[in-house]
Amino acid sequence: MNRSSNGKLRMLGVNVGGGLLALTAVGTMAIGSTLALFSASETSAVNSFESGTVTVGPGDTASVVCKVQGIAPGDSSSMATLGSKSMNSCDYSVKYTGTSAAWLSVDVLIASTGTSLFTGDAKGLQYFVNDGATKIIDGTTFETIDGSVTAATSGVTVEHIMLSSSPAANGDTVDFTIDYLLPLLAPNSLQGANSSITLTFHAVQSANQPLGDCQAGRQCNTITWG
Amino acid sequence: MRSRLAISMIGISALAIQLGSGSSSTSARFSSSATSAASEFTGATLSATVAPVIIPSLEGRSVRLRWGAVSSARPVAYEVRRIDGLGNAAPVCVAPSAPTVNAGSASCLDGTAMADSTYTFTQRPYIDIPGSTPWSLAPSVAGTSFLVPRLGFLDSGAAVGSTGARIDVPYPTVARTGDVLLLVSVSGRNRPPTTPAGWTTLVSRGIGGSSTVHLYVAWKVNDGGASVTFDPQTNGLGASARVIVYGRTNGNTATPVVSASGVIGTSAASTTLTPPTGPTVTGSNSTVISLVATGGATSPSLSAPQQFGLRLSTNSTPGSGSVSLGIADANVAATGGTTAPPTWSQTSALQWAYATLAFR
Repeated sequence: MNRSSNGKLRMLGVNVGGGLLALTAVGTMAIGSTLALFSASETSAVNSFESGTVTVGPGDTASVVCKVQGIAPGDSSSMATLGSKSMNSCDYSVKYTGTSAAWLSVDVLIASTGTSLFTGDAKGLQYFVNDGATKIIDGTTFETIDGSVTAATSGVTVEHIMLSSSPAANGDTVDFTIDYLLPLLAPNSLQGANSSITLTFHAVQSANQPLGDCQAGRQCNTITWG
Repeated sequence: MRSRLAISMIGISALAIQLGSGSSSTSARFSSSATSAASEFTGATLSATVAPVIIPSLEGRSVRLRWGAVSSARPVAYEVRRIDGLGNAAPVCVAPSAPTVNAGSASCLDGTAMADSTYTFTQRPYIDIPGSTPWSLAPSVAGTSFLVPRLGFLDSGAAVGSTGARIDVPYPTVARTGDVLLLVSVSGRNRPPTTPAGWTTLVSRGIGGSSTVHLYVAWKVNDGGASVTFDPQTNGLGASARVIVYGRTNGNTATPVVSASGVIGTSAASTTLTPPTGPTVTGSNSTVISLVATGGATSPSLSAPQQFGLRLSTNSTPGSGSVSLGIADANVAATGGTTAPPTWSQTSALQWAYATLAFR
C-alpha cells in the first residue's frame, strides 16, 4: 500500500516536479542567468614532479690536445716514467654538471691509420692515462673488473673504466692527463707510424644502480651506462 | 556489435604487448657523455726515402765521400761502409771523422783507404738517438768502384814573382818526404830558366811575339827540403813560380816516378785549347797532369773537363806583364792507358803553351 500510494505520489510528484522543472527552465531561459546557485569547491596544493639531470660539460681548465709530429725513440712527455720527458702532456678536463648523483667512467679508444705506433707491447708507444691517482691506462694495459691486467688493443675501445667508487655531484671536475713514451727499443718499422687516443667521459645516474664489484681504476660493465 | 568489440579488444591487447616489450628496455638510465678531441702521434721519418749513393773522389791523401744529405726532424747520422774487392766491409768515417753536412750535401774523408785498392761504398742514414734502436733507411746501393790513386794533389803552393835572376820558392808545408814536387814557372819572357840543382826539367817551352810566355816545369821527389832557388831567366816582364805538391796516398810507400813521356807543345791563338791525346802511361794507376800557360791574364778554365779535375787557375803580374797558369789532373788506371784530354778555355785569344805529364 504504502508502495502503491507512494507510487501515486511519486507519479504526482513526477508530474508536478516535472512541471516545475520545466517551468523553472523556461523561466531561466526567459529571465537569463541572473539566478546563481549556492556552491563551493576546494583545490589541493599542486603536486609537481621534476626529473633530475645527468649532464656533463667542459672542465674549469682548458683541455690540451696533443699533435706530436716526428716522435722518435726515447721521446716522452713530462710525467712519463722514462724517456726524455721533454714534451708536453695532453689534458682533457671535464665537469659533471647534472643535478642527480652520478657514476663516472671513461672509455679509451686508441686507434691508427696504417701502421700503428701503439703495438700493445713494451716496444711501441706507451700511454699513461690518469685521473689524479686513478690509473686508466698504464702503458699498454688496463684493469678489468676483477683486477686482471689486460693489454689494450689499437682499434678496440677500452670501455667504462670507473673513475670513483663515490657518486659525483654537481660541479665535480675530472682532469685526465695523457702522458706518453716511445721507448728506445721502438723498432725501425715504426718510422712514420701513427697513433691517436680519444677519451669518452660518461656519467650515469647512481640512483637505483648499485655499484656492485666496481672499483675506481677498473673496468665496470655491471651497471648500465645509458 | 559483439564481434567488433572483440576485435577491438584484441587490438588493445596487442598494443599492450608491444608496449610491454618496449618497456623491457626501460632499464635505460639518465646519462650523458662527452668525447675529447683525439691526441695524435706520428713517428719520425727520414727524407729522402732511399739512401743516396756515395760518390768518391780523391782529396789529398784520402778519399772524399759525398752523397745527398738525408733530413729528419731529428739529427741524422750515417753509417758508412767500405767494401773491398773481396767483399769485405769495414766501417769508415767514424768519429772524429764522422760525416758532416753542408748545403744539403753530406761528406766525410776515408783516411784509411789504401792506394792501388779498389772499393765501393755504401751509407745508411739513421736518426741519431743514443741508445736507441736506429730508425734508418736501407743502405744505399754501392756506387761505381773507385781505385785509390797512388798520388793525390795536395797544394798548389804560394806564387812567388820576380823580375830578377833569383827566385826562392817555398815548398808547401803539407809536403812530406817522398811526395812529388813540381816547380812551375811562367815567365813573360820567352827564355828557358836554369834548372835548379837536384831537380829534373820536364817542360821548357815558350812562345814569342804578341803571346810571349815561357812555361817551365821541373820535378823531384821531396827529400825534406823547404824551398827551391832558381834563375827564371826573366826580365822586367817578370816570372811567377810555385811549387806544387802531389802527395803519396795512404799506404803508398813507393818512390814516385814519371810514368810517361810528356805531351808538350804550343798552339795557335784561340780562346780554347784541347791538347793532343796522351800521354800513354807506362804504369798502372798513374796521375796525369795537364798544364797550360799564356802570356796574359786570361783565367784558364776547363770547359770540357773529361775526367780531369781543375786544381789551379790563376793570373799573376810578376812584372810589367801578366801571365796565367792552369792545372788539372786525372787518373789512368791501367798500364798502357790514356785519358781523353780536357778542353781549356781562356778569356782572350792568345797562344797557349801546354804540357801533359804523368807520374805514379
